[in-house]
Amino acid sequence: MSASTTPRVVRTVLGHAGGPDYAIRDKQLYRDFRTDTSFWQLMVFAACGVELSVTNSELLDTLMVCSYVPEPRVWPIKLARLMAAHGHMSTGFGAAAQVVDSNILGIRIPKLAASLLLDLDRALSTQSETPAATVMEAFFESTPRIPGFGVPARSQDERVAAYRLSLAERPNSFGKYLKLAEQAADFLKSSRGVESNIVVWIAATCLDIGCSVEDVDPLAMLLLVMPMLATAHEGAQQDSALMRELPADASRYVGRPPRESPRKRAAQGG
Amino acid sequence: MTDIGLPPKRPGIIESRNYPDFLQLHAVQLEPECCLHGYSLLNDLQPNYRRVECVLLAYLGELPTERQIEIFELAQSFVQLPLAVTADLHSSILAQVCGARAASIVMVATTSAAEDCERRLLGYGDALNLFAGGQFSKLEVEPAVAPEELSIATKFRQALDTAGSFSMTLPEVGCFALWLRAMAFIGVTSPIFLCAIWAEARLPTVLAEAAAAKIGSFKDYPINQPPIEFEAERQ
Repeated sequence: MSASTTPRVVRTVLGHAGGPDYAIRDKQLYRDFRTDTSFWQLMVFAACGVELSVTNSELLDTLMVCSYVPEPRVWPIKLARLMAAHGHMSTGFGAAAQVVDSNILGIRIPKLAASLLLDLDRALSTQSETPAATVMEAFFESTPRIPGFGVPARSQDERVAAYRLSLAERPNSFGKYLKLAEQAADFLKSSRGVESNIVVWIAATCLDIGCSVEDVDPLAMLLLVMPMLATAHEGAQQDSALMRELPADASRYVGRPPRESPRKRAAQGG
Repeated sequence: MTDIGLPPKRPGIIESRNYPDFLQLHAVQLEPECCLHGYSLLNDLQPNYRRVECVLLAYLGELPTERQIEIFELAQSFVQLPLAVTADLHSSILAQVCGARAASIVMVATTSAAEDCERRLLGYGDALNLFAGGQFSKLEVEPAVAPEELSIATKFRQALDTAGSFSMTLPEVGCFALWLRAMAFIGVTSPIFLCAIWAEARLPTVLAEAAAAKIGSFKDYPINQPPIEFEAERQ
């Protein structure tokens, strides 16, 4: 779009500083949310326009706890620590948030997993006469990459185990897509030995609380990036020289062997 | 809290796998002397090569030819100035107004410029290989030259043609498209390097503006540019 055809005004539904209160979508921030609104209720309303029930807000609390990874050596979390090693938490946290915008891990995958669940639901609905296992077999056979499934470096995703345990303890939390995720997870484990990872459970939860596929992104961001705050904070406080510079024996050069440039050779009379 | 029964330093899932004890470096050798792609910094590169030649060595893995250097410097000179108040320029000024740290302002400028390049790269796909192979014709994804960049794009194209390195006359495309053809001609097609080179061209001018802005000058900053209008959602 050229500059001449670019709209001259940017529209927002997110907010307006109206005086003593802020307009937010179709509500007033302090008037409508000040007294009994949870963090998740405000975040989901602001980002997605979805009004969460208390039950669903508590479900996101549970998901946050179960998807929390405190181990600072795990790859993107370690990046938060490395980038905070000069003493600034914001740099570590911001860099880690950028790096999880990745095709192989992080915030893009839950959206893909949400699309997968919608497609699977459609397939099951349109072939309701066919046994579910048969439909799923054909569905996953025609899906080259199954987002939300596969667990690297360990036999199962401990976050999934914890979340499923929590869900089992509060069965009324199971909405349509969490049930579908469970169905798909059990099928893929029994038929292919493939375990689900936390991503498909994040996707299913987002859909169950009323988010669209597009709205999965900000929630996935919160769920996957917030754990990096603590490690960025600790990394900045430690101000670690060891994080800023690896010991000499912790790297190995595997590139081109030593060589001389034409100009050096010429200068040497060669 | 219930004791989960694990001693605090019990080997976990990371200890149960074999990971290397060292980071592999492919371009930078640290010992016994500092080298880039095999060339000694102190005994070869520093005394014999200009900065631009070392930059291209880093990107290409080999020392550049005079023609590569000429095209690189020519292309960088034409894209070093934004032709409008682009997001890299605007966000860097705003970061300074907000009182951000120097490193944060540079990060904002670099990230925004690199994002600009990455976004512009969308749609080119395999075309970069065509450019690298000397096929420079206009692509369907490339829009007509915007009026505001017509004069500079014309001079950019003429300068590249005059440099005599291209096998055919370049098409009438915008500055980024010409810059991309120049980079591919040199041999740079990696998105990482392209984003870095684009950002490197833009950073000095963008940061010159950021540094000139007054920290905390909120009253002087045009908060309504561009206009952002609130429209309450209707239930």
